[in-house]
Parts: sequence; structure tokens; C-alpha cells
Amino acid sequence: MTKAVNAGWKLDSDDKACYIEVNDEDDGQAEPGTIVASETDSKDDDAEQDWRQWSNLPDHILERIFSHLTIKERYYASLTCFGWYRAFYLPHVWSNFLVEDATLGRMKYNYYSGWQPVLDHSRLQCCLLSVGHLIRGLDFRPQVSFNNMFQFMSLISWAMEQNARATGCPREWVGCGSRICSLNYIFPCNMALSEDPESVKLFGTGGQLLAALKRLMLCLTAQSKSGALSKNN
Amino acid sequence: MRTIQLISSDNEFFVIEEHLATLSEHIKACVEDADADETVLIFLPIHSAILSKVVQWANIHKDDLIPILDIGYDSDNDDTVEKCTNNIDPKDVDFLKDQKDILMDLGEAAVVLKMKKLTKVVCKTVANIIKNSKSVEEIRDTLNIKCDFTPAEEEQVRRENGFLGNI
Repeated sequence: MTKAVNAGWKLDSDDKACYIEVNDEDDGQAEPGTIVASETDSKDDDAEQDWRQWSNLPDHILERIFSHLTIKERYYASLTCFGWYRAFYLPHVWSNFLVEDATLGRMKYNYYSGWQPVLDHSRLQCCLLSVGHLIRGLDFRPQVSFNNMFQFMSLISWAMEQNARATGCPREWVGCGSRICSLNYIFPCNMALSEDPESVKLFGTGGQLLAALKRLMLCLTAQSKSGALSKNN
Repeated sequence: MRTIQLISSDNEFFVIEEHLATLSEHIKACVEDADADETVLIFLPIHSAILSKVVQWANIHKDDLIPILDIGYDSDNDDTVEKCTNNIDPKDVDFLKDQKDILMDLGEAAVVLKMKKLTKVVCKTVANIIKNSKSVEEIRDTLNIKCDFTPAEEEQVRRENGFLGNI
């Protein structure tokens, strides 16, 4: 029997276990009843109580679930309940911001190439205003639409330049991009292969894009972040 | 021979094999301090219905213990692999297929027991459910989430980030 007491003591000394028990206690208070009762009937007879607990999951679990989702899916998940709405703004969810062709875009018809995603400026602006201060890393993965990347980089560079100005920046933009400490840009090197073989494609050197990239990197180095800047490919 | 017994919140006993303990850092830590021929009793704030599922899950992965430990599941820092949700082990997909109503409890249990891999699998499964849902109501229905917004709050939340949804 001493052994049983020992094991129980080991569990008690564990932070995590204590924390969960506190959680149980909260549930107990919400529904009038004793702690013991709430521990024993957690599964069987209160199916209607289950919903309460989703939002009680530890933040890092919610962060992990949310980080698997695209921006749009995060938005819809945030509409389900208050706990998940809160989770939408957890820092780790936005720590790595992936920019792809269709990110924050809307489809637009182009006579030559059909429906193409075009970056939606108002959405991008709203998005940066809302979570721009949480972004810690940018990850550009263009497939064909370099223009979207260019626009994206221009706006975020602008926001960071505003922050760097001595005269102060527009209040709503304060902090936007200030935590960015890593930049990843992957150039697609198989563009010619990915499209239909009939079309002959012309490529420029992407001078505008490189200029935008340079501007962004200047902003980042000006912030003198400790994190390493990495540029792939 | 060291025996490990898990005791659920409703006082049911689960005897587990020692090598299964390595899947849970919590159990591992408890066992490490014990003598070689001691019986280790571990009290857990987890209901037997859930704990039996966790033990069942651990048994499924009994044979691939070594890869799990070696990969460490923390070392795959590559974000694309990490974020990808279609790379769930088929065994886990099977296991969790009909367990939607206890996903949350499993997640909580995985946190208590510090089971990294189970945590990951549960999170990815939940993410997939959200991805495959067509509407907010469907997410709530599938995962048994009750909307605790007042209509006014819901309207405000919708407006706040509405730009992220479909226009």
C-alpha cells in the first residue's frame, strides 16, 4: 500500500497532472456538484457538457490544430465558439505565414491564362492589420504568380517602413511585421514544365520582384533582428 | 520484472507492458524513479473509457516504437511536413475514424500523459475535420461544439475577420 501512496505522490508532484485537476475543478463549479463527481462522470452521462471542454483544451493544442489550417479555415473555425475565436489570435498560429499564389487572393479572369488568383489588397491589408504583429516568419512559395508576391512584399515592406519612421507611424500599423525574424523565398525552377507544353512562355529576369525582395530584406535587417535570414534556392 | 499499472479516475486498473511506457513521457518519468522489481501504480485524472482507448492506441503502435522514438517527432522541423495533414499513419486514421466524439478527451489525455505522437495525430485529425466541413455549423455538429456567442457577438466576430472568408 505504501507503494500506491508513493505513486500517487509522484503524480501529485507533476505540474501537468495538477493543472488538469484544477481544470476538473472548474467544470465542477460550472455544474453544481463535487469535484469527485465531475471526475467520475466526465464521459458517461453528460454528453451535453462535452462542448464546454473543447475550449478548455490547453492553448498549445489549439495552436497546433489552427496552424494546420489555411487562413480561410482558421476564420471559419474561429466562428464556432468563443474559445476558438480566442485561439485564432494565439501567437503561434501565425508564427509562420505562408504566402502562395492564391493566398488572400480572389479569382480573376484573364483572356490569356484563364482564371488566375489575384492578390486582394483590401483583404491583405485587413489581414496584416489584424495579425501582422504576430507574424514571426514569412514563407514565399510562388508557383506562377510572381505579381502577387511582389504586391505582398511591397505592402508589408511599406508597413515596416512606417514603423521605422522617426516621426511615428499610423496607429493601426504599429507593430506590424516587427517580429519577423525569418524569411524564406523559394523560387520555382520548374515553371516551364508545369504548364501545358504548347505554350511558349517568356520570362523576364524578375527585376521588379528582386527589387521588392531587396526592399523587404532591407526592412528586416534594419530591424536588426537576432534571427537568421535565410534565402533558399 | 517491473509492472506498471495505470489507475483511471473511476478507479479501473490497466496493466501495461513496460515498453509501452516509453510512448508517454509522463509514465516514463514515473517509472524511472522506481526500483527494478517494483510495482508502479500511476493515478491518472483520465476516465477509464478514454484511458482504455489510449492503451489500445499504444498497443497499435507497439511494433513501431523504435521509429517513433528515433524520429522524435520534434526533429521533423520542416514546416511543410509538420503542417501537412494528409500524412497521418493509416493505422491512426483507422483508429480515429469512428472516434469523433472522444477526440477531445483523447487530446486532453495525450496532454496529461505527455504523448507527443498521439497529440499530433489528434490535432491533425481535428484539423482535417475542419478542412472537410462545408460550414461553421457542420464543424460544430461534427466536433460537438456548442456556440457560446450571443447573436450580436457572432455578428461582430463575423465582421471582424470577415475579409478572410469568401467574398
